[in-house]
Amino acid sequence: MKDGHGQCLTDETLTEYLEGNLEPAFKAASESHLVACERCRDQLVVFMRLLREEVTPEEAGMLQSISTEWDQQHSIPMTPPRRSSSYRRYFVGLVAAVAALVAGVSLWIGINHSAEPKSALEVNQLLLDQNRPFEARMAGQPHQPMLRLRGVEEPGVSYDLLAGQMTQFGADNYEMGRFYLLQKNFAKAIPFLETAAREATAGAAVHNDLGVAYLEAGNSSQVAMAEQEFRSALQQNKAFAAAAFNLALFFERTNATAQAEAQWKQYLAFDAESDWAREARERLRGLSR
Amino acid sequence: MPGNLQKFRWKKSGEMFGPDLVRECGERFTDRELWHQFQERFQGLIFMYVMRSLRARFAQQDVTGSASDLAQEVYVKLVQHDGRVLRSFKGASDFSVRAFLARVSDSVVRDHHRSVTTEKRSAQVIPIDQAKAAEASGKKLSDAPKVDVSQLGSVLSLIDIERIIEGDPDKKNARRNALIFQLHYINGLESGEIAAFPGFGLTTSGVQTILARLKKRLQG
Repeated sequence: MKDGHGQCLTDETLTEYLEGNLEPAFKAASESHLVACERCRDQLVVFMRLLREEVTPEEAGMLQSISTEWDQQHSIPMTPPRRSSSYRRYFVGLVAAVAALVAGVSLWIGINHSAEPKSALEVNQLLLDQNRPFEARMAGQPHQPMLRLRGVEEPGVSYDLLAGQMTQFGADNYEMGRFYLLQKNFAKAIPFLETAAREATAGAAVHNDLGVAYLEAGNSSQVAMAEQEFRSALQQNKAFAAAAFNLALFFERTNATAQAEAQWKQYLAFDAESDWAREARERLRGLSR
Repeated sequence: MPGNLQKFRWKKSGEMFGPDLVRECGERFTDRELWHQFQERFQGLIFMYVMRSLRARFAQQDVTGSASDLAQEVYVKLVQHDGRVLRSFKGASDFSVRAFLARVSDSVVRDHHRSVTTEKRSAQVIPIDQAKAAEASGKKLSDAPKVDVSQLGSVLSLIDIERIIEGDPDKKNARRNALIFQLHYINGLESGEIAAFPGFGLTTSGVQTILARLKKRLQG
């Protein structure tokens, strides 16, 4: 930007000024500009405040919260809190997040350079193949046992680096919703899936996955909405196995035991052989005990 | 400056030099160990810069949720287009790495701030009845922009600043000294905060001496 006192300084020039890296003539010109240009001086001050090395106790507490939030978003459980300094707790959080990001980078690289998916749908499918995020069943999800491990609960996949890839692929509302659903980021997934479900072309898979998001989000009012979505999916396609599976799971979760038993039996009537069927049978046995 | 301050760990002995690590990450996307080092050493800084930038721009206390989301955006920005941003890094010091991460983090927060501000602006619709009533009564609408007091302050200060520069016997550093004066008296930075940056080439007492000298001249 140009004004009465010349060209405004770039962020790089401002930080190089702070480091003392500018040539003398350029440094003098930058100082003349900074004295006259409030906007550039304000930005210089922003960098001076950002780059302050000291971390106040208030900031340390906030960093701990951010680290915890980050871990939750990436499904990496925090080490149980200990009676130690906030910096130490913060560092433990960082170590957990390291594993997540490295796995994410590797996965992103793998997708970018090896498997080379050509669409958002393929990215999501690849992620679905990697791990099972929750008990409910997303459309097109291959069966994997639900692992309940102590410590690192999942393979440590971090999805953040894939977000740019999804954008590049021009992911639609449904695929973006599934992408966030796979991360268990329900706050982001649900609006995308709700938008997709309102579209005229919304099929059984969309309603099923929106139902999964409602069911797994854990909010009681949303759980109640899950049933309607599974029923909508089944209305569109009576043989939509994922929705039939999820409806039984919904009844289980809401303690409607008789309905759950009936629904598991109904599911097994048209899927008796798959790994999902085996899981359904075990659940049915569990209800009968 | 608040007491009981903590400092971030920067570099352990035997670790790769920070600037080299940044450049290498831009070149070698497939090196798991390299990215492990990157996150171990720089993620805390990214969190901190995003958090500070958010607090500066949004003037809000609880930034936890937004900071975590925006930290993801920082990573996306670093690696997108085959790591163009990482590969563009030309720095040669630990400070330059910090400055680089601060610039990327701040630019992500600025983009976010712009989008939020645009949304708010488009949502600020004043009912026509309210506007008419306000016009009839001669009152200003409560949503009308207020006079920016800081702008007024800076206009006044420019006159003083010119006097400072003209009258400074240290001609070579007159503009730097005037800038320091502004940073302290207008922007509220402490002497130590200014001296912490090598670009000013001064110790804390050196900054204090300049401030005292310029203040005295203005008062005289």
